[in-house]
Amino acid sequence: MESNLKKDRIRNFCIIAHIDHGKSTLADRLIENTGLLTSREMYNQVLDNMDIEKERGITIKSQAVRMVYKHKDGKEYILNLIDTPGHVDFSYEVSRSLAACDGAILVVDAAQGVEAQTLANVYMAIDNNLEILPVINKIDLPAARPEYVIEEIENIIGIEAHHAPKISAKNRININEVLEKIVQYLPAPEDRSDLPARALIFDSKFDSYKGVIIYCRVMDGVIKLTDTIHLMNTDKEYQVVEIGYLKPGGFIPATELTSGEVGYITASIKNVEDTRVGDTVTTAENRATTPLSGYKEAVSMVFCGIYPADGSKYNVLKDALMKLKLNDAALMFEPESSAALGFGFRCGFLGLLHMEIIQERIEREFDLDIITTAPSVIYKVTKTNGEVLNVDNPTNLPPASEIDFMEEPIAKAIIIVPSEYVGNIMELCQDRRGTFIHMEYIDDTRTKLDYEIPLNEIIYDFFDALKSRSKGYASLDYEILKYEKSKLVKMDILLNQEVIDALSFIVHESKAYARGRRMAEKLKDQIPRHQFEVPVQAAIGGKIIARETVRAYRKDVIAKCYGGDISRKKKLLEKQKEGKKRMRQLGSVEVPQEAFMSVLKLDT
Amino acid sequence: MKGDLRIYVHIPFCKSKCNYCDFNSFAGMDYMFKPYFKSLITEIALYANELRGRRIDSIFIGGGTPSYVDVQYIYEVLDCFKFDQACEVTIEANPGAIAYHNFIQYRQMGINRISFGIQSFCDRVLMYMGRVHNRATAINNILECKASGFNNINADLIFGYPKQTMENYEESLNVIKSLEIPHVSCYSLSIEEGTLLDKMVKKGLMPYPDETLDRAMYDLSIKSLQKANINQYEISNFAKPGYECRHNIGYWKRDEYLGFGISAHSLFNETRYSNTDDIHQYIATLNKYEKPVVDSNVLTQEEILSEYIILRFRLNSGLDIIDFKKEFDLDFEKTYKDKLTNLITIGLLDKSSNAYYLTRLGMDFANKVFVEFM
Repeated sequence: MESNLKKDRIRNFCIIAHIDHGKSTLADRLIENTGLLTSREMYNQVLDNMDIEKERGITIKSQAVRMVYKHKDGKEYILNLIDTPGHVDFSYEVSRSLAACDGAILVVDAAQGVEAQTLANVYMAIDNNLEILPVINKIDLPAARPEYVIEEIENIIGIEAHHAPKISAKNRININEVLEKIVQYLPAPEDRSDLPARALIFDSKFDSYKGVIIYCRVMDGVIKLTDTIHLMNTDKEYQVVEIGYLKPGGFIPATELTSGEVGYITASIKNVEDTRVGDTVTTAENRATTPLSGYKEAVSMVFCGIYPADGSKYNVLKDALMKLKLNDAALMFEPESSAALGFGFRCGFLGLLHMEIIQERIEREFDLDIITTAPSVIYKVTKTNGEVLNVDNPTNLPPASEIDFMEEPIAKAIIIVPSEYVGNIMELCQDRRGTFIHMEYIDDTRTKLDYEIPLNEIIYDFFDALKSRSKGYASLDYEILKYEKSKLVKMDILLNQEVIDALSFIVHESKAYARGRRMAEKLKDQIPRHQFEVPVQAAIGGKIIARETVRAYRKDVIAKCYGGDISRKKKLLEKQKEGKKRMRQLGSVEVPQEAFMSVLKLDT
Repeated sequence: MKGDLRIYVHIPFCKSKCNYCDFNSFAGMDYMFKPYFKSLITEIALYANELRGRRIDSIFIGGGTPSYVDVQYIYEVLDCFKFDQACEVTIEANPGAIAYHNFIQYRQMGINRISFGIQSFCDRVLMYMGRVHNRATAINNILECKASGFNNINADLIFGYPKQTMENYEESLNVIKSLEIPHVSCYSLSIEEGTLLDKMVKKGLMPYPDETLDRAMYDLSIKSLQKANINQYEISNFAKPGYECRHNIGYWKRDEYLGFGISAHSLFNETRYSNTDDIHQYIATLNKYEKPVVDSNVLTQEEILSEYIILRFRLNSGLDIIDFKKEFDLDFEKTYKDKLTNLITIGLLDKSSNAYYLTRLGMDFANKVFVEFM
């Protein structure tokens, strides 16, 4: 019955917004207002499923919901809201989510106006030919200036914004106007049911009962419950087990999905790697000749070691990584060991955020304390005997005498920044060994910069530095371009005269001294005082280039503890206890877990 | 837990604020005496139920500088409580903020213990501390105190203060001994955030305390006082036999106590609660005849256990495993076997026949031990 629905009663759209402008809250309200859930039973912000997403206020994995909306014309419409991740590491996933939509709601904060992240996603939406409906949110804030923001949208983005609903998602003001305008302004999908089936996978996840669940938008043709599906890029075939539509937190089984519809397919698929985002689902019987465009393989760009804080938890960590991998085809890992940290895993990620997310998920979802080593890229090392090695772990770098030359990956970086910050950003890129390629004025206010920057400079707090030098306005996109010869050295860190392999990193010769010094300073602040003096040294090839000393402490005692002090001192001890839990014994020295990561943020 | 009760009364006023002080105390607010004491008396009246039928074993009037306010106020406060001659009644006094006739009046109203904020007998160090008194005043006040009939006297000392030397600290201990003061509290300085001293040290106007010297001074306190039969009984407290402060021992043994006045804390019915630290709010709340409690925490069994262990370890007598068993019906040694073994191995803890106690090193790193039992 539902599949006979006319295509003009369907709207497939996503919501794009800068962080904190109210994307998730608006999504909640749309779902609430279309009556799928009452607000009381609604799990706050249903689209963001993971804890980390809720805490960071960002969406990492996209999913979708189907809403039934009764328009004032008396007809019922199917509104499919497809959620999009919001970070540069996931720009590929974002682009596939957008490709599954016909329109997008652009949420802009009435007080803050248009911001960088909004722009990056808007451009991507425009590139995917999406119709854009602006919505001005938070109009009940004292600082709201909706008319100004409407002007801004028209000027900066160049889209009509005078019909934009002025709403407060938080306080439920004007939500129905958004629903009305979705129907009115966003296009219905084209009906291409008579073509061979092609459905775009915009997400997939593993469910222990159903196997892999494919989230897809059918672009052409029809996929039926009785079909055998064919995944065009991975070239695999499966018999469909279940097919249907999505509701918040659940599924509505159906018999088919037709062109223009959004839904899910399960087919006893064991591995999310076989259902990669961006792949095309067709049917075995009536295969499409070409897959949908835009598919890319997942490529790990950043690597780091992950170790259990408690060595005996190695198997728990292994189990955690395997479970996460079920839902994250982009996560790579293999066993490795370190003299300082024992047994662990070398893991590969799409980027730094992806890495941080995985770390947090391991700690939270598996209640496991872990230690991560400095992130690295893949270096190509040509030895004097002609052998070529791919090195993603500084520990595996051969001695300098055996190395003929080294190559490092260079990224093509596109930075969009308000023109007043161009100077700051160019200086930053220069400082990070960037090569200037091109500059272009997008409009009166914004400039696009093209640079070639070594990837190892980007993974190293580049994004934070970019944000802090542009008041948060600059946006970044990057992809690997090539490998280039480079003068690189391995920096070792010694604590109390012992080399700690887990702290070694590879750095360009020109920056080695400065970074070694800064690293020693930073570690000095990070390492707690011990009952003995702890020298912190940085060395290149056995030569010490920097030294700091952590003073010894002689007392750690609360001298005064009377009636009023007891509660207060207990809090103090609690804090001390928390800190102790996060310490790792390296030789004779206790090092907080944070030290392994925070030493990378030397710029801040 | 219905035994005797202990009372703490907080008097937040001072003649001037010392450089290292982060207590809730004010200088130059003398005009608040009257409304404050009126509120204090109202507050005590609101606790009639808690006080009813309970013997009071100790009263501690602390501050601030209680001796700085007119004696009449102290009398009015003490008059709110029923207590017998056996009750230990202490008042804190600062040299230079007390007169001879005050001591006599204190005795008349039932106070039997004076605790002096001496800190040092070296005038230079007293200046670095921002104290209002000097050595001569301090000695004079102590002599007056003794002459008026007090023999239960405490002197607070601070060691490890920037620019304080071993020699002048040793001299301070010697003065204590020659004045035959039977109780001494020796506090290792900790620089509290936001104090004047903290700012001076951070700006480089005063050197950081030397921790090695601090520990040597601590050693000296223990050894030097012991020679005068003033023996350590808690991390920072020393007394001649029979002069240990019952009130403070009560805190470490988790006796019930009620605290009155701003920022005063109480332990009652296994609940820890505290008053507002805002004097205006304190007065306004009591003007409405409401208790000025801002924070109240009903202790869980784990918290009680952890407090018990940590507080007992502060005492030289340590934690008695038979007492522990009686209190919790739990075998201390079995429950904490690994921790105890480890702490003994690294030299922070030791065991006599029935008790576990901090070693001398354990007293330097007591927090390391405490954290294990949090």
